Amino acid sequence: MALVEIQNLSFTYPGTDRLALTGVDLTVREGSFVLIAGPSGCGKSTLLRRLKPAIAPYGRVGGAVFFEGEPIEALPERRQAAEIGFVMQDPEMQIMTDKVWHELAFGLENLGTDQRTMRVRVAEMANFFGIQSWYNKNVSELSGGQKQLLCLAAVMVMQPKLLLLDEPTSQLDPIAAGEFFDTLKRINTELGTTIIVTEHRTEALFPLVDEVVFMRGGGIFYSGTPRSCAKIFSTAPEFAAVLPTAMTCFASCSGDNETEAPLTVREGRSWLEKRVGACETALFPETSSGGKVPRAEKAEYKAKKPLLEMREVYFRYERSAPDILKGADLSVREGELFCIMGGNGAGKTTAIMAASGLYRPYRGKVLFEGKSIFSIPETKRLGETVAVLFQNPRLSFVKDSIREELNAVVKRFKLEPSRLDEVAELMELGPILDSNPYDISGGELQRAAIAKLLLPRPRVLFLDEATKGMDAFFKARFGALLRKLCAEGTAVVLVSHDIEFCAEYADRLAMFFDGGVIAEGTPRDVLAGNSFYTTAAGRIARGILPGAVTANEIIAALGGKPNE
Amino acid sequence: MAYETEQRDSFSTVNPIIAFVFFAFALIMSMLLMHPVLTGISFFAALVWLFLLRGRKAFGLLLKFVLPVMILTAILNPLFNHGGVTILFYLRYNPITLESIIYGAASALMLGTVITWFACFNAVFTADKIVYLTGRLAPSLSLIISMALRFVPLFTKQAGRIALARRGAGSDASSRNIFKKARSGLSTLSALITWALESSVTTADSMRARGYGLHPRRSFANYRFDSRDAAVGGAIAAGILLTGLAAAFRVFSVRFFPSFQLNDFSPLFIAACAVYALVLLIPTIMYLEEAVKWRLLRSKI
Amino acid sequence: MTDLAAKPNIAPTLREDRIRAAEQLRREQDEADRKRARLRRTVTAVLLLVFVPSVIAVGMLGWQDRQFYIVSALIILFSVLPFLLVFEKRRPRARELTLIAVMVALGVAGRAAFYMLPQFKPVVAIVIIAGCSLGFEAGFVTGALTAFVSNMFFGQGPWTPYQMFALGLVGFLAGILFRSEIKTKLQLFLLILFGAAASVLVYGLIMDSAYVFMAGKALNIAAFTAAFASGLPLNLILAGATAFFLLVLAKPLLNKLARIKLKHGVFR
Repeated sequence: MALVEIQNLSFTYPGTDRLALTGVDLTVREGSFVLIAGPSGCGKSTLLRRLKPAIAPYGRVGGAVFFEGEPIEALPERRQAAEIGFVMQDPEMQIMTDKVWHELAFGLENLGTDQRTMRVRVAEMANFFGIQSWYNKNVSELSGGQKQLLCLAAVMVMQPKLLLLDEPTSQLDPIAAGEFFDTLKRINTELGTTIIVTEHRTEALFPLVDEVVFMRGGGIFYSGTPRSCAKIFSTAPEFAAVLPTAMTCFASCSGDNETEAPLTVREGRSWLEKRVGACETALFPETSSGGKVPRAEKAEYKAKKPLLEMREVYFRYERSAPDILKGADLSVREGELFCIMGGNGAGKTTAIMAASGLYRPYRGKVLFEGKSIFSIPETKRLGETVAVLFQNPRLSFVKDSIREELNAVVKRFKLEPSRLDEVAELMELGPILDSNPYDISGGELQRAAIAKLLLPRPRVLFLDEATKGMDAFFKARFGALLRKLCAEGTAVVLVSHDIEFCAEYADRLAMFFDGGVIAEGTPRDVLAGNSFYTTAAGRIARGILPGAVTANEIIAALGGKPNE
Repeated sequence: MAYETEQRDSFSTVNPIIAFVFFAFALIMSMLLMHPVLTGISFFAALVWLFLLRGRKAFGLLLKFVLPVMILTAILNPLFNHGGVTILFYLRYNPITLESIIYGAASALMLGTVITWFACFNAVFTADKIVYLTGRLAPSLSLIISMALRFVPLFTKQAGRIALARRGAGSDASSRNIFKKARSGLSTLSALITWALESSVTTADSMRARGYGLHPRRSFANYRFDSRDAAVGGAIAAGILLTGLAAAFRVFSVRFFPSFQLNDFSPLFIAACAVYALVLLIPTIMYLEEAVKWRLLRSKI
Repeated sequence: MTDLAAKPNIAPTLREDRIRAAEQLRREQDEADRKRARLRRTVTAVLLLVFVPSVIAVGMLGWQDRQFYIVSALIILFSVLPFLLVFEKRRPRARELTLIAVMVALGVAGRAAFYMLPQFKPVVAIVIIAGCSLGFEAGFVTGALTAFVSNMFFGQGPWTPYQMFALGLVGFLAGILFRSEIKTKLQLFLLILFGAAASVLVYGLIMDSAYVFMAGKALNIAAFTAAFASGLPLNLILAGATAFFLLVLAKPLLNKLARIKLKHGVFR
C-alpha cells in the first residue's frame, strides 16, 4: 500500500518566480527505504519538508501530497506530529533540552501521553538505540554521533509511520555516519518504519535502500532500485559521482547489460576479477611495482625545498593532559595540496594548531622557510603567512553580507580594493557576494570563507574538514578550485576524513595515528596497500589491479573512458 | 555548582517535591522565628548537612561567603538601629544599645542560617530537579530553563571556537593591550549572537516537528514517588504541623525592643525545640542511616 | 495557525481565494492579538509599577515588628509569579520560547565570560535588547529567567527573587518604552540613557534594598541611604557596562533579531 503519494507537486518560495519543485510525482510504499540524491539546491530538502506540514516553508503550492490516502495538510496536528518524524542536518541546535532523558521524552510530553506509557516508550527507545549508558547525561557531554542518534531516538519514541531525514550525517565523521545508517536500516527492517532520506554519502547507503530517487532542478529525474541505477549513467554522466564506486566502474567499462551491476566492494571485487581475467590487456604498467613510487620522482620531490616543516613536534593542551602530538613530522612544499588523514582523535586538528603557529609545541620545531615560525610576530604570522579555516566557517561571519565581510578584511590588512574582486573571481563568488552568510549553502559558504582567508595572500592555507557536508557535485568543483589555488603558488594543507577526496586531488598524503605520522607520500603510495584505510576503489582493486586507488584509475586500466 | 554535582546523599534521592517542601519549611521557619535557640538549631542542622554534602569544600564556602555576611550584618545593625533601653556607649552622638547588638547578632545568625540552607539547596537541587519542579507549575517556562541550560555550555564552547577561528584568520592576534582584547572579545560576542539567533530557527523547527504546541502537554516525571518518599513526607508534614502549633500557641516568643526578653525554658518549649531539631535533621539522619547500613553490609561480606 | 495556503488544490483560482482568506484571517487574529496585548500591558504596568511598590510601602509601615525579608520576599515572589503564569497561560509559540531561551543563555554566558571584571557584565544590556525586540512580556520573562538560570550556575540564595524581579522589571520597562528598531542617533542615545538609569535606579536600588531587608529590621532612612551609598560604585560600573554594551550591540543586535523574527515568520 502506498503510504505517501505525491501528485504533480510544485512549489515556489515567496518573493521569487523560480519553481523550487516542478511537478513532482512519487509514490512511497509502506515499509520501504528511499534515498533521494541530487546536488544541493535540487529541491530535495524542499520536497522533504513538504511532507511535514508543521515545518513546511510558506509559499505557493501546486499539486497534492497524500498520506495514507488523505491530503497531508488535512491531517490532524496530533497525528501529523506523531506519525511523521523529521530529523534535520545539524544535531547541535536540534536538541533543545539539557538532558538526554528529557530530550527523549519531549515528543511524548507534547502529545500529552500518560506517565506510564511515556516511561515505557522512553525505556524502549533507550534500549533500541543503546542509550542506557548515557541516559542521565547532559547533552553537552555527548559526541556528535551520539547527538544525532539522540535526535533520531527523540523522534522514534513517538512511533512514527514515516521517518524523514534531511542529510542527517552531513556533520558526522565516516564511522559515526556508518553507525547512523546501520541504525536506520535496523529501524526499517525491525520496526517496519518507512524511511525517506536525502544524503550525500551515497556509497554507504546504496546497498541499504530499496529505492533511489535522483532529483535535478526541482524535478525527479530517475527513480528505481539501486541496482537499476547503473542505467542512468549513459543518460546523465554527471551523476557518476553519486553512484557507488563499484557501480561507476561497472557502468563506464562494461557494455554487457546482462550482468547485474555491483553495489558493494565485495560485488565490485568479484566483477573486477572476472573482467580482468577476461581481458588480458588490463594492466597497470606504471604501478606494477606494487604501489612503490619510482625513485626518480622521489628524488625530484626531495630536491624541492620545504615551505613549512614540522620536526618531532610534541604537544599537549595542558601540562597534566596527555600528549596529543607525539613527535609528529611533516613537510609541505610550495604550491602543493597536502592532505592529512586519520581517524578521530589521531591529532589531525591539533597538528594544524601547532603547524600554523596558533599554539606553541613544548618540544620540537616548526619551521617556515627554514626559520622558526614563532620568530615571525603573531600579527604577521597569522593571516599573511599562514591562515587557518576551522570547521563550521559560519561561526566567523558577523556582517550582513559576504561583501561587507570581505571588505572588513581588506581594510584590516590595508590591501588594495581590487584584491577583493580578484579573490571573488578566483573563488567564483559572483552570485553570492551580496547574500547574507546564513542564507547560502554550506559549500558556498566554504568558498566565501576561503576567499576571506586568501585576501591577505597567505603562503600556506590550512583547511580543517573543508569537504564536510559537501555533495559529490560540489566536491569535484571544490577540488578543482583547490588545484587552481595551488597552481598559483599557495600551499594548501587539508585535514580530512574524506579519503576519496584526498585520493583524487592531493599531491601528497600524510596518515596520522596516535599523534604521529605513520605514512607519508603520494596517494597511491600511502593508500594502495591498505586494506581498510583506503578508498572504496582501492579496496575493490586490491590484489587485482595493484596501485589503483580511484575509480578513474580502475576505469582507465580496463580501457574505459574516465569521468570528469 | 548545583549544575554538576551529584553526591551520594540519601536525601538527594528523595522526590523533588518533598525535598522542596523541606527546604521551604527550613527557610521560612528560620526567617520567621528569630528566636536565638531555634535559629541556633537550624544553623547547626544546616551546617552539619552542608559538611556531609560538600566535605572540605564547605569550609571555603563558610569562610569566604557566610562568615563575612554575618559579621557585616552584626556590625551594621547596631550602627543604624538605636532602639533599646540599655545604652552601652555613644558613637558620634549615636547611642549604641545592648538590645541592638543582640538583635544584630540574632539577625546575623539568621542570615547565616538562610545562606547555609541555600548552599545545601544548591548542592541538592540539580538542574534536573528544578526543571522537574518548574515543569509541574509552568511547562513553558520550564522548557525555556531547560533550553537555556543546554545553550549556556554550548555557547561557551562556540565562543571559544569563534575566538580560535578569528585568530586563525589573522583577524585578531592575541594581544596584551586591554582595548584590543576588549574589541576582539566584542567581535567574538557579536559572532556568537549572530550564530545563536540564526540557529534558533532550527531549534524552533525541531520543537514544532515534534508536536510542540499541542494541548494538553504533560511533563515527563523522571522521579517516582515511592514509600520512602511518603514516609519522609509524612515526617516533614508532622513536623510542620507541630512546629506551627507551637508557634501559634506562643511557645516560642522573643522580644528584642525595648528590652531583650526570651520565653521560659518550659518542658513544652524544650519538647517543641526537639521536634524542630528532629525535622531539620532529617537529611542528616538519613545520611547517617545509610552510612551505617553500608558499613554493616560490608562487615557481613 | 493552520496553513490554509498550503492546502492541496486543483483549480488555481480557488487557491488564490484561499490564500487571500488565510491572509485575512491572519490579519484579524493579529489585530485581536494586538488588542489583547495592549490590555495585558496596561494591567501589567499598573501591577508592577503601582501595586507592588505600594504593597511593600504599606508592609513597611504596617508590620514594624515583623521579619521584613520574608514579607518583602513573598510580595516579590507573588508579583513575579503572576506574570510568569500569564505568559504560561498564553501558550507561547516555539519561536518565542527559543528566542527567549537564546537571550537568557546569552545573558548567563555573558555573565560567566566577564567573570574577571566585577559588575562589568552585558546582562542588563541583553535583557533590555530582548525587551525592545520581543516585547514587554518576553522582556520580563527573559529578565526573570536570566536571573534564575544564572543563579543555577552561581548559586541560588535569598537574593534570587529580588534579582528575578529587578531584571524582569528592566526588561518589562524596555519593552514598554522602546520599539524594536533603532533608526536615529537620538533613539540610540535614549536607549543608552535608559540602560544606565535602569542599572542604577531599578536593578541597583532593588538589590540594595534587598540587602537591607535581608539584614534585619533596622528599616530607617539611614540604613537605606547607607546601603545605596555603599552600593553606588558597583552600580555605576554596571551602568557603564550597560551603556557600553548597548552602544556597541544594540543596533546590530536589534537588526539581527528583526531578521530572525522575519525568518521565523517566513517559516511560520
